[in-house]
Amino acid sequence: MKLQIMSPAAARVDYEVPPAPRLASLEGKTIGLYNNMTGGADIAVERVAEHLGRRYPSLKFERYGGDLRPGRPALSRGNHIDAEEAARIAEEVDAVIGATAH
Amino acid sequence: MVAVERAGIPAVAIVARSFERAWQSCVDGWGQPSTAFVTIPHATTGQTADFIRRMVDEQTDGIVRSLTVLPTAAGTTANLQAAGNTTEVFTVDMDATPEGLDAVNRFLAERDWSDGLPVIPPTPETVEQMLRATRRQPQDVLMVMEPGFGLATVEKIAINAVMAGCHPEQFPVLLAAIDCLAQPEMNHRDMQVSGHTEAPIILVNGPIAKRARINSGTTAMGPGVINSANTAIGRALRLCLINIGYCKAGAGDPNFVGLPTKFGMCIAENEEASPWPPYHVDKGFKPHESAVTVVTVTGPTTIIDSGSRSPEETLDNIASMMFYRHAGAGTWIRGWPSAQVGHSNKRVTFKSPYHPIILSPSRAVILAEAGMSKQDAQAWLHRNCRISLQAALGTWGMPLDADGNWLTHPELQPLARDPEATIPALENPEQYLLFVSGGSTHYSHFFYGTYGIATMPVEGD
Repeated sequence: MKLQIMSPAAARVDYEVPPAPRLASLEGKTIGLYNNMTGGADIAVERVAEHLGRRYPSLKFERYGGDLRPGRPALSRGNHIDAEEAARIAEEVDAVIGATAH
Repeated sequence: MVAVERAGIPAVAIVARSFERAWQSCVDGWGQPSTAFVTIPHATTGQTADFIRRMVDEQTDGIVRSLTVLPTAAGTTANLQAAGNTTEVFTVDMDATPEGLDAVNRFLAERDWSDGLPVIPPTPETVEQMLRATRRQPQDVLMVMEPGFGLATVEKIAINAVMAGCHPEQFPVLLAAIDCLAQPEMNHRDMQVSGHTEAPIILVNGPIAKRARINSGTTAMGPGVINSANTAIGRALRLCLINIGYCKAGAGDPNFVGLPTKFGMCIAENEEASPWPPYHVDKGFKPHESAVTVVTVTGPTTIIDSGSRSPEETLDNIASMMFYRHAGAGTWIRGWPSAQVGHSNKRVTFKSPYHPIILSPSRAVILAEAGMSKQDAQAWLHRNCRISLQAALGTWGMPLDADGNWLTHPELQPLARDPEATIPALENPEQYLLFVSGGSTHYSHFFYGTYGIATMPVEGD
Protein backbone atom coordinates (compact mmCIF):
# COMPACT_ATOMS: atom_id res chain seq x y z
CA MET A 1 0.00 0.00 0.00
CA LYS A 2 1.25 3.45 -0.85
CA LEU A 3 0.42 6.27 1.52
CA GLN A 4 0.78 9.95 0.77
CA ILE A 5 1.89 12.17 3.63
CA MET A 6 2.36 15.91 3.80
CA SER A 7 5.57 17.51 5.01
CA PRO A 8 5.24 18.95 8.52
CA ALA A 9 8.34 21.13 8.07
CA ALA A 10 7.69 24.83 7.61
CA ALA A 11 9.06 27.03 4.90
CA ARG A 12 11.54 29.48 6.37
CA VAL A 13 11.82 33.22 6.02
CA ASP A 14 14.32 33.89 3.28
CA TYR A 15 17.04 35.90 5.02
CA GLU A 16 20.74 35.98 4.37
CA VAL A 17 23.59 37.91 5.95
CA PRO A 18 26.88 37.75 4.03
CA PRO A 19 30.04 37.59 6.17
CA ALA A 20 31.61 40.95 6.95
CA PRO A 21 35.00 41.69 5.37
CA ARG A 22 37.87 40.33 7.48
CA LEU A 23 40.76 42.37 8.87
CA ALA A 24 44.13 42.23 7.09
CA SER A 25 45.76 42.16 10.53
CA LEU A 26 44.80 42.87 14.12
CA GLU A 27 47.77 45.24 14.46
CA GLY A 28 46.61 48.67 15.63
CA LYS A 29 42.95 47.71 15.70
CA THR A 30 40.30 48.20 18.36
CA ILE A 31 38.50 45.03 19.42
CA GLY A 32 35.12 44.92 21.12
CA LEU A 33 34.79 42.44 23.95
CA TYR A 34 31.17 41.40 24.39
CA ASN A 35 29.94 39.39 27.33
CA ASN A 36 26.23 38.81 27.74
CA MET A 37 26.57 38.60 31.51
CA THR A 38 26.21 34.87 31.74
CA GLY A 39 28.51 33.80 34.53
CA GLY A 40 32.18 33.79 33.56
CA ALA A 41 31.70 35.29 30.11
CA ASP A 42 33.57 38.40 31.26
CA ILE A 43 36.50 36.27 32.44
CA ALA A 44 36.60 34.42 29.11
CA VAL A 45 36.78 37.52 26.94
CA GLU A 46 39.27 39.24 29.26
CA ARG A 47 41.56 36.21 29.00
CA VAL A 48 41.40 36.42 25.23
CA ALA A 49 42.29 40.11 25.50
CA GLU A 50 45.34 39.23 27.63
CA HIS A 51 46.63 36.83 24.97
CA LEU A 52 45.91 39.14 22.07
CA GLY A 53 47.41 42.11 23.89
CA ARG A 54 50.69 40.25 24.27
CA ARG A 55 50.68 39.22 20.61
CA TYR A 56 49.64 42.65 19.27
CA PRO A 57 50.83 45.36 21.72
CA SER A 58 49.14 48.12 19.70
CA LEU A 59 45.71 46.50 20.10
CA LYS A 60 43.01 48.41 21.98
CA PHE A 61 39.87 47.02 23.59
CA GLU A 62 36.39 48.32 24.25
CA ARG A 63 34.05 46.46 26.61
CA TYR A 64 30.37 45.78 25.93
CA GLY A 65 28.00 44.09 28.29
CA GLY A 66 28.87 43.67 31.93
CA ASP A 67 28.01 46.59 34.18
CA LEU A 68 25.21 48.81 32.99
CA ARG A 69 26.83 52.14 32.21
CA PRO A 70 25.23 55.42 31.20
CA GLY A 71 25.59 56.17 27.54
CA ARG A 72 26.54 52.60 26.61
CA PRO A 73 24.37 50.11 24.73
CA ALA A 74 21.97 48.53 27.19
CA LEU A 75 23.44 45.08 26.70
CA SER A 76 22.62 42.84 29.57
CA ARG A 77 21.95 39.28 30.58
CA GLY A 78 19.63 37.53 28.21
CA ASN A 79 19.62 40.27 25.62
CA HIS A 80 21.05 39.97 22.16
CA ILE A 81 22.64 42.89 20.37
CA ASP A 82 19.98 44.56 18.28
CA ALA A 83 20.52 46.21 14.91
CA GLU A 84 20.84 49.73 16.32
CA GLU A 85 23.38 48.68 18.95
CA ALA A 86 25.33 46.69 16.40
CA ALA A 87 25.59 49.77 14.19
CA ARG A 88 26.93 51.81 17.13
CA ILE A 89 29.45 49.10 18.02
CA ALA A 90 30.61 48.90 14.40
CA GLU A 91 31.41 52.62 14.52
CA GLU A 92 33.52 52.22 17.66
CA VAL A 93 35.53 49.05 17.02
CA ASP A 94 37.00 47.03 14.15
CA ALA A 95 35.87 43.56 15.28
CA VAL A 96 34.04 41.86 18.13
CA ILE A 97 34.89 38.85 20.27
CA GLY A 98 31.98 37.55 22.28
CA ALA A 99 31.26 34.95 24.89
CA THR A 100 27.59 34.30 24.49
CA ALA A 101 26.76 30.66 25.07
CA HIS A 102 26.92 29.59 28.65
CA MET B 1 27.20 38.00 16.52
CA VAL B 2 25.25 37.91 13.26
CA ALA B 3 23.94 41.40 14.06
CA VAL B 4 27.55 42.58 14.37
CA GLU B 5 28.51 40.93 11.06
CA ARG B 6 25.48 42.55 9.46
CA ALA B 7 26.74 45.91 10.70
CA GLY B 8 29.90 45.31 8.68
CA ILE B 9 32.62 44.15 11.09
CA PRO B 10 33.89 40.62 11.76
CA ALA B 11 32.81 38.77 14.89
CA VAL B 12 33.73 35.54 16.61
CA ALA B 13 32.13 33.88 19.61
CA ILE B 14 33.40 31.60 22.34
CA VAL B 15 30.88 28.78 22.67
CA ALA B 16 30.69 25.86 25.08
CA ARG B 17 31.05 22.61 23.15
CA SER B 18 27.66 21.29 24.22
CA PHE B 19 26.09 24.39 22.61
CA GLU B 20 27.85 23.89 19.28
CA ARG B 21 24.80 22.50 17.48
CA ALA B 22 22.59 25.10 19.13
CA TRP B 23 24.91 27.82 17.91
CA GLN B 24 24.82 26.44 14.39
CA SER B 25 21.05 26.15 14.47
CA CYS B 26 20.66 29.76 15.59
CA VAL B 27 23.05 31.29 13.08
CA ASP B 28 21.38 29.23 10.34
CA GLY B 29 18.11 30.90 11.31
CA TRP B 30 19.70 34.32 11.47
CA GLY B 31 20.91 33.94 7.91
CA GLN B 32 24.64 33.42 8.33
CA PRO B 33 25.50 29.73 8.73
CA SER B 34 29.22 30.49 8.56
CA THR B 35 29.33 32.82 11.59
CA ALA B 36 32.67 32.19 13.28
CA PHE B 37 33.03 30.54 16.67
CA VAL B 38 35.56 28.64 18.74
CA THR B 39 34.60 26.08 21.33
CA ILE B 40 35.62 25.46 24.92
CA PRO B 41 34.96 22.17 26.72
CA HIS B 42 32.43 23.40 29.30
CA ALA B 43 30.01 26.21 30.02
CA THR B 44 31.65 29.05 31.95
CA THR B 45 28.82 29.69 34.40
CA GLY B 46 29.85 28.78 37.94
CA GLN B 47 33.41 27.78 37.02
CA THR B 48 36.40 29.29 38.76
CA ALA B 49 38.24 32.07 37.00
CA ASP B 50 41.32 29.89 36.72
CA PHE B 51 39.38 27.07 35.08
CA ILE B 52 37.77 29.46 32.57
CA ARG B 53 41.16 30.94 31.69
CA ARG B 54 42.63 27.49 31.11
CA MET B 55 39.72 26.60 28.80
CA VAL B 56 40.24 29.79 26.79
CA ASP B 57 44.04 29.64 26.62
CA GLU B 58 44.19 27.42 23.55
CA GLN B 59 41.72 29.46 21.50
CA THR B 60 43.80 32.50 20.54
CA ASP B 61 44.90 31.21 17.14
CA GLY B 62 41.36 30.28 16.21
CA ILE B 63 40.06 33.69 17.23
CA VAL B 64 42.72 35.52 15.21
CA ARG B 65 41.99 33.30 12.21
CA SER B 66 38.25 33.94 12.51
CA LEU B 67 38.76 37.70 12.40
CA THR B 68 41.27 37.71 9.54
CA VAL B 69 40.22 34.89 7.20
CA LEU B 70 36.88 34.90 5.43
CA PRO B 71 34.93 31.79 6.45
CA THR B 72 34.43 29.40 3.57
CA ALA B 73 32.26 26.77 5.25
CA ALA B 74 28.59 27.37 4.66
CA GLY B 75 27.58 25.68 7.89
CA THR B 76 24.73 23.23 7.93
CA THR B 77 21.89 23.84 5.60
CA ALA B 78 20.53 20.29 5.78
CA ASN B 79 16.80 20.02 6.22
CA LEU B 80 16.28 23.64 5.33
CA GLN B 81 13.28 24.09 3.11
CA ALA B 82 13.14 27.04 0.78
CA ALA B 83 10.41 29.56 1.43
CA GLY B 84 7.30 28.85 -0.55
CA ASN B 85 3.63 28.09 -0.20
CA THR B 86 3.57 24.57 -1.60
CA THR B 87 3.68 21.77 0.93
CA GLU B 88 5.62 18.79 -0.29
CA VAL B 89 3.70 15.52 -0.46
CA PHE B 90 5.66 12.28 -0.18
CA THR B 91 4.65 8.75 -1.01
CA VAL B 92 5.58 6.10 1.54
CA ASP B 93 5.29 2.35 0.94
CA MET B 94 3.49 0.54 3.74
CA ASP B 95 2.50 -3.07 4.24
CA ALA B 96 1.29 -5.29 7.07
CA THR B 97 4.76 -6.26 8.27
CA PRO B 98 6.12 -4.58 11.41
CA GLU B 99 8.57 -2.66 9.22
CA GLY B 100 5.85 -1.68 6.77
CA LEU B 101 3.52 -0.42 9.50
CA ASP B 102 6.34 1.73 10.82
CA ALA B 103 7.35 3.13 7.43
CA VAL B 104 5.83 6.59 7.97
CA ASN B 105 7.49 6.98 11.36
CA ARG B 106 10.85 5.98 9.92
CA PHE B 107 10.39 8.38 7.02
CA LEU B 108 9.67 11.26 9.40
CA ALA B 109 12.40 10.31 11.87
CA GLU B 110 15.02 10.21 9.12
CA ARG B 111 14.22 13.86 8.44
CA ASP B 112 14.10 14.82 12.13
CA TRP B 113 10.41 15.70 11.78
CA SER B 114 9.18 13.99 14.91
CA ASP B 115 9.25 14.05 18.71
CA GLY B 116 10.51 10.48 18.64
CA LEU B 117 7.14 8.84 19.31
CA PRO B 118 4.95 7.19 16.68
CA VAL B 119 2.66 9.62 14.88
CA ILE B 120 -0.59 9.51 12.90
CA PRO B 121 0.30 9.80 9.19
CA PRO B 122 -0.59 13.32 7.98
CA THR B 123 -2.29 12.36 4.75
CA PRO B 124 -3.89 15.05 2.56
CA GLU B 125 -7.29 13.72 3.60
CA THR B 126 -6.70 13.85 7.36
CA VAL B 127 -5.13 17.29 7.05
CA GLU B 128 -8.12 18.52 5.04
CA GLN B 129 -10.43 17.30 7.80
CA MET B 130 -8.40 19.22 10.35
CA LEU B 131 -8.52 22.38 8.24
CA ARG B 132 -12.33 22.24 8.14
CA ALA B 133 -12.33 22.94 11.91
CA THR B 134 -11.22 26.55 11.39
CA ARG B 135 -12.40 29.51 9.38
CA ARG B 136 -8.81 30.54 8.77
CA GLN B 137 -7.25 29.96 5.39
CA PRO B 138 -4.59 27.23 4.99
CA GLN B 139 -1.89 29.70 3.95
CA ASP B 140 -2.63 32.27 6.66
CA VAL B 141 0.60 32.82 8.64
CA LEU B 142 0.01 32.99 12.41
CA MET B 143 3.63 33.77 13.27
CA VAL B 144 7.26 33.40 12.32
CA MET B 145 8.52 30.77 14.72
CA GLU B 146 12.10 30.99 15.99
CA PRO B 147 14.87 29.91 16.09
CA GLY B 148 14.40 28.61 12.54
CA PHE B 149 12.17 31.49 11.43
CA GLY B 150 9.61 29.02 10.08
CA LEU B 151 6.30 30.26 8.73
CA ALA B 152 3.52 28.93 10.95
CA THR B 153 0.76 28.58 8.37
CA VAL B 154 -2.58 27.12 9.35
CA GLU B 155 -1.86 24.19 7.03
CA LYS B 156 1.49 23.36 8.66
CA ILE B 157 -0.09 23.58 12.09
CA ALA B 158 -2.85 21.23 10.89
CA ILE B 159 -0.30 18.71 9.60
CA ASN B 160 1.44 18.65 12.97
CA ALA B 161 -1.91 18.43 14.75
CA VAL B 162 -2.79 15.31 12.77
CA MET B 163 0.58 13.78 13.59
CA ALA B 164 0.03 14.41 17.31
CA GLY B 165 -3.33 12.65 17.29
CA CYS B 166 -5.52 15.75 17.56
CA HIS B 167 -9.15 15.56 16.50
CA PRO B 168 -10.56 18.46 14.47
CA GLU B 169 -12.60 19.84 17.40
CA GLN B 170 -9.31 20.33 19.25
CA PHE B 171 -7.69 22.29 16.43
CA PRO B 172 -9.01 25.75 17.49
CA VAL B 173 -7.32 25.29 20.87
CA LEU B 174 -4.00 24.60 19.19
CA LEU B 175 -4.42 27.61 16.89
CA ALA B 176 -5.13 29.85 19.90
CA ALA B 177 -2.02 28.48 21.61
CA ILE B 178 0.03 29.42 18.56
CA ASP B 179 -1.65 32.86 18.62
CA CYS B 180 -0.34 33.16 22.19
CA LEU B 181 3.20 32.27 21.12
CA ALA B 182 2.95 34.92 18.42
CA GLN B 183 2.58 37.67 21.02
CA PRO B 184 5.94 39.41 21.55
CA GLU B 185 5.48 39.28 25.33
CA MET B 186 5.57 35.46 25.17
CA ASN B 187 9.30 35.70 24.43
CA HIS B 188 9.01 32.43 22.54
CA ARG B 189 12.58 32.73 21.27
CA ASP B 190 14.07 32.28 24.72
CA MET B 191 11.57 29.55 25.51
CA GLN B 192 12.84 27.68 22.47
CA VAL B 193 16.59 28.12 22.71
CA SER B 194 17.39 28.35 26.41
CA GLY B 195 19.78 25.86 27.89
CA HIS B 196 17.74 25.53 31.05
CA THR B 197 14.67 23.38 31.13
CA GLU B 198 11.26 24.84 30.48
CA ALA B 199 8.18 24.09 28.45
CA PRO B 200 4.93 25.79 27.44
CA ILE B 201 1.84 24.88 29.42
CA ILE B 202 -1.54 25.43 27.73
CA LEU B 203 -4.34 26.54 30.08
CA VAL B 204 -7.84 26.33 28.59
CA ASN B 205 -10.97 28.16 29.74
CA GLY B 206 -14.55 28.35 28.54
CA PRO B 207 -16.93 26.07 26.66
CA ILE B 208 -14.27 24.91 24.18
CA ALA B 209 -12.83 22.70 26.92
CA LYS B 210 -15.85 20.40 26.89
CA ARG B 211 -16.25 20.49 23.11
CA ALA B 212 -12.60 19.51 22.70
CA ARG B 213 -13.00 16.85 25.46
CA ILE B 214 -10.15 18.31 27.50
CA ASN B 215 -10.09 16.75 30.95
CA SER B 216 -10.09 19.20 33.86
CA GLY B 217 -10.49 16.64 36.63
CA THR B 218 -8.57 13.79 38.16
CA THR B 219 -5.33 12.83 36.34
CA ALA B 220 -5.81 15.61 33.76
CA MET B 221 -2.08 16.15 33.32
CA GLY B 222 -1.28 12.45 33.22
CA PRO B 223 -1.56 9.56 30.80
CA GLY B 224 -4.76 7.69 29.99
CA VAL B 225 -7.59 7.60 27.51
CA ILE B 226 -9.64 10.22 29.37
CA ASN B 227 -6.72 12.60 28.89
CA SER B 228 -6.17 11.94 25.19
CA ALA B 229 -7.27 15.44 24.14
CA ASN B 230 -4.96 17.05 26.72
CA THR B 231 -2.09 14.87 25.55
CA ALA B 232 -2.70 15.38 21.84
CA ILE B 233 -3.04 19.18 22.02
CA GLY B 234 0.07 19.54 24.16
CA ARG B 235 1.99 17.22 21.89
CA ALA B 236 0.81 19.05 18.78
CA LEU B 237 2.25 22.30 20.11
CA ARG B 238 5.59 20.56 20.69
CA LEU B 239 5.58 19.14 17.15
CA CYS B 240 4.93 22.64 15.82
CA LEU B 241 7.87 23.98 17.84
CA ILE B 242 10.06 21.23 16.35
CA ASN B 243 8.87 21.24 12.73
CA ILE B 244 7.84 24.87 12.25
CA GLY B 245 10.25 26.56 14.67
CA TYR B 246 13.10 24.14 13.88
CA CYS B 247 13.67 23.65 17.58
CA LYS B 248 15.38 20.29 17.18
CA ALA B 249 16.65 18.34 20.14
CA GLY B 250 20.34 19.04 20.70
CA ALA B 251 20.37 21.85 18.16
CA GLY B 252 17.76 24.60 18.35
CA ASP B 253 16.72 23.00 21.62
CA PRO B 254 19.87 22.85 23.76
CA ASN B 255 18.17 22.00 27.10
CA PHE B 256 20.86 20.49 29.27
CA VAL B 257 18.82 17.33 29.91
CA GLY B 258 15.30 18.20 28.79
CA LEU B 259 12.01 17.79 30.63
CA PRO B 260 9.26 15.19 30.30
CA THR B 261 6.79 18.08 30.28
CA LYS B 262 8.27 19.18 26.95
CA PHE B 263 6.31 16.41 25.25
CA GLY B 264 3.29 18.58 25.92
CA MET B 265 1.07 20.07 28.63
CA CYS B 266 -2.55 21.09 28.22
CA ILE B 267 -5.15 21.38 30.95
CA ALA B 268 -8.56 23.01 31.34
CA GLU B 269 -9.78 24.83 34.41
CA ASN B 270 -12.29 22.84 36.46
CA GLU B 271 -14.81 25.66 36.23
CA GLU B 272 -17.70 23.61 37.62
CA ALA B 273 -15.87 22.66 40.80
CA SER B 274 -14.12 25.98 41.34
CA PRO B 275 -15.70 28.42 43.80
CA TRP B 276 -14.15 31.34 41.95
CA PRO B 277 -14.65 32.92 38.51
CA PRO B 278 -12.43 31.24 35.92
CA TYR B 279 -9.06 32.62 34.92
CA HIS B 280 -10.14 33.96 31.53
CA VAL B 281 -12.82 36.07 33.25
CA ASP B 282 -10.04 37.62 35.35
CA LYS B 283 -8.48 38.56 32.03
CA GLY B 284 -11.63 40.29 30.78
CA PHE B 285 -13.35 37.54 28.83
CA LYS B 286 -17.02 36.62 29.33
CA PRO B 287 -17.73 33.25 30.97
CA HIS B 288 -19.33 31.95 27.75
CA GLU B 289 -16.26 32.86 25.72
CA SER B 290 -13.28 30.55 25.39
CA ALA B 291 -9.65 31.49 25.80
CA VAL B 292 -6.27 29.84 25.86
CA THR B 293 -3.34 30.96 28.00
CA VAL B 294 0.21 29.81 27.37
CA VAL B 295 2.92 30.20 30.00
CA THR B 296 6.55 29.11 29.78
CA VAL B 297 7.31 27.11 32.91
CA THR B 298 9.63 24.71 34.58
CA GLY B 299 8.51 22.17 37.13
CA PRO B 300 6.02 21.33 38.53
CA THR B 301 6.60 20.68 42.19
CA THR B 302 3.68 19.04 43.95
CA ILE B 303 2.47 20.79 47.09
CA ILE B 304 1.19 18.20 49.58
CA ASP B 305 -1.21 19.95 51.92
CA SER B 306 -2.32 17.17 54.25
CA GLY B 307 -1.28 19.01 57.42
CA SER B 308 -2.98 22.37 56.97
CA ARG B 309 -5.79 23.29 59.37
CA SER B 310 -6.61 26.80 58.19
CA PRO B 311 -6.72 28.84 54.99
CA GLU B 312 -3.58 30.67 56.09
CA GLU B 313 -1.73 27.38 56.50
CA THR B 314 -2.90 26.30 53.06
CA LEU B 315 -1.57 29.52 51.55
CA ASP B 316 1.61 29.29 53.61
CA ASN B 317 2.16 25.83 52.19
CA ILE B 318 1.87 27.24 48.67
CA ALA B 319 4.13 30.14 49.61
CA SER B 320 6.82 27.67 50.67
CA MET B 321 7.44 26.97 46.97
CA MET B 322 9.00 30.40 46.64
CA PHE B 323 12.03 29.07 48.48
CA TYR B 324 13.54 28.27 45.09
CA ARG B 325 16.37 30.71 44.55
CA HIS B 326 15.65 31.23 40.87
CA ALA B 327 11.89 31.67 41.19
CA GLY B 328 12.36 35.17 39.86
CA ALA B 329 12.09 36.64 43.33
CA GLY B 330 13.11 40.29 43.43
CA THR B 331 14.19 40.55 39.81
CA TRP B 332 11.44 43.12 39.21
CA ILE B 333 13.46 45.85 40.91
CA ARG B 334 15.64 46.06 37.81
CA GLY B 335 12.58 46.58 35.60
CA TRP B 336 10.77 44.19 33.34
CA PRO B 337 12.89 41.98 31.08
CA SER B 338 12.99 42.30 27.31
CA ALA B 339 11.92 39.80 24.73
CA GLN B 340 13.56 40.04 21.35
CA VAL B 341 11.84 39.19 18.13
CA GLY B 342 12.73 38.90 14.48
CA HIS B 343 15.94 39.24 12.57
CA SER B 344 16.44 42.80 13.86
CA ASN B 345 16.39 41.57 17.51
CA LYS B 346 13.79 44.22 18.26
CA ARG B 347 13.20 44.47 22.02
CA VAL B 348 9.79 44.21 23.62
CA THR B 349 9.34 44.59 27.36
CA PHE B 350 7.26 41.87 28.99
CA LYS B 351 6.05 40.93 32.46
CA SER B 352 7.65 37.93 34.06
CA PRO B 353 7.53 35.56 35.81
CA TYR B 354 3.97 34.29 36.22
CA HIS B 355 3.88 31.15 38.36
CA PRO B 356 0.90 28.92 37.48
CA ILE B 357 -0.40 27.25 40.61
CA ILE B 358 -2.72 24.37 39.69
CA LEU B 359 -4.94 24.46 42.71
CA SER B 360 -7.08 21.45 43.55
CA PRO B 361 -10.75 22.48 43.83
CA SER B 362 -10.77 21.47 47.48
CA ARG B 363 -7.91 23.88 48.26
CA ALA B 364 -9.78 26.69 46.50
CA VAL B 365 -12.93 25.81 48.50
CA ILE B 366 -11.00 26.08 51.79
CA LEU B 367 -10.03 29.62 50.85
CA ALA B 368 -13.45 30.56 49.48
CA GLU B 369 -15.24 29.22 52.58
CA ALA B 370 -13.03 31.52 54.64
CA GLY B 371 -14.34 34.42 52.58
CA MET B 372 -11.32 34.80 50.33
CA SER B 373 -11.74 35.68 46.70
CA LYS B 374 -9.06 34.56 44.28
CA GLN B 375 -7.67 38.09 44.39
CA ASP B 376 -7.56 37.94 48.20
CA ALA B 377 -5.53 34.74 48.02
CA GLN B 378 -3.18 36.28 45.47
CA ALA B 379 -2.80 39.36 47.67
CA TRP B 380 -1.97 37.14 50.66
CA LEU B 381 0.79 35.40 48.68
CA HIS B 382 2.09 38.72 47.44
CA ARG B 383 2.12 40.14 50.96
CA ASN B 384 3.78 37.15 52.58
CA CYS B 385 6.25 35.93 49.97
CA ARG B 386 9.13 38.34 50.47
CA ILE B 387 12.83 38.47 49.80
CA SER B 388 15.54 40.54 51.43
CA LEU B 389 16.47 43.56 49.35
CA GLN B 390 20.13 42.64 49.70
CA ALA B 391 19.45 39.23 48.16
CA ALA B 392 17.48 40.84 45.33
CA LEU B 393 20.38 43.15 44.54
CA GLY B 394 22.65 40.11 44.46
CA THR B 395 25.65 40.21 42.22
CA TRP B 396 23.89 42.10 39.43
CA GLY B 397 23.31 45.34 41.29
CA MET B 398 21.08 47.99 39.79
CA PRO B 399 21.13 50.04 36.60
CA LEU B 400 22.46 53.45 37.62
CA ASP B 401 22.57 56.93 36.19
CA ALA B 402 25.79 58.94 36.09
CA ASP B 403 25.22 60.10 39.70
CA GLY B 404 24.70 56.61 41.06
CA ASN B 405 20.92 56.89 41.31
CA TRP B 406 18.82 53.83 40.59
CA LEU B 407 17.20 54.05 37.17
CA THR B 408 14.42 51.67 38.23
CA HIS B 409 12.44 51.81 41.46
CA PRO B 410 14.40 54.74 42.92
CA GLU B 411 11.93 54.78 45.82
CA LEU B 412 13.64 51.65 47.15
CA GLN B 413 17.18 53.02 47.04
CA PRO B 414 17.05 54.49 50.59
CA LEU B 415 16.42 50.95 51.88
CA ALA B 416 19.53 49.54 50.23
CA ARG B 417 21.69 50.04 53.31
CA ASP B 418 19.20 48.33 55.61
CA PRO B 419 20.17 44.65 55.94
CA GLU B 420 16.69 43.88 57.31
CA ALA B 421 14.76 45.46 54.43
CA THR B 422 12.50 43.13 52.45
CA ILE B 423 10.47 43.52 49.27
CA PRO B 424 7.67 41.39 47.74
CA ALA B 425 9.14 38.42 45.86
CA LEU B 426 6.99 39.19 42.82
CA GLU B 427 5.90 42.67 41.84
CA ASN B 428 2.18 42.01 41.35
CA PRO B 429 -0.28 39.65 43.09
CA GLU B 430 -1.59 38.39 39.73
CA GLN B 431 1.79 36.79 39.08
CA TYR B 432 0.63 34.02 41.42
CA LEU B 433 -1.57 32.54 38.70
CA LEU B 434 -4.20 30.51 40.57
CA PHE B 435 -5.81 28.00 38.20
CA VAL B 436 -8.29 25.55 39.70
CA SER B 437 -8.05 22.12 38.14
CA GLY B 438 -7.73 18.42 38.81
CA GLY B 439 -9.53 16.25 41.32
CA SER B 440 -10.76 17.66 44.60
CA THR B 441 -8.07 16.60 47.04
CA HIS B 442 -5.26 18.04 49.14
CA TYR B 443 -2.67 18.61 46.43
CA SER B 444 -1.60 21.42 44.17
CA HIS B 445 1.07 21.83 41.53
CA PHE B 446 3.43 24.78 41.55
CA PHE B 447 4.99 25.64 38.20
CA TYR B 448 7.79 28.16 38.06
CA GLY B 449 7.17 30.64 35.27
CA THR B 450 10.34 31.42 33.38
CA TYR B 451 9.59 33.62 30.39
CA GLY B 452 6.39 35.11 29.05
CA ILE B 453 2.65 34.62 29.18
CA ALA B 454 -0.19 35.42 26.81
CA THR B 455 -3.94 34.82 26.65
CA MET B 456 -5.84 34.72 23.37
CA PRO B 457 -9.45 33.97 22.38
CA VAL B 458 -10.50 30.71 20.77
CA GLU B 459 -12.35 31.23 17.51
CA GLY B 460 -16.00 30.26 17.43
CA ASP B 461 -16.98 31.33 20.97
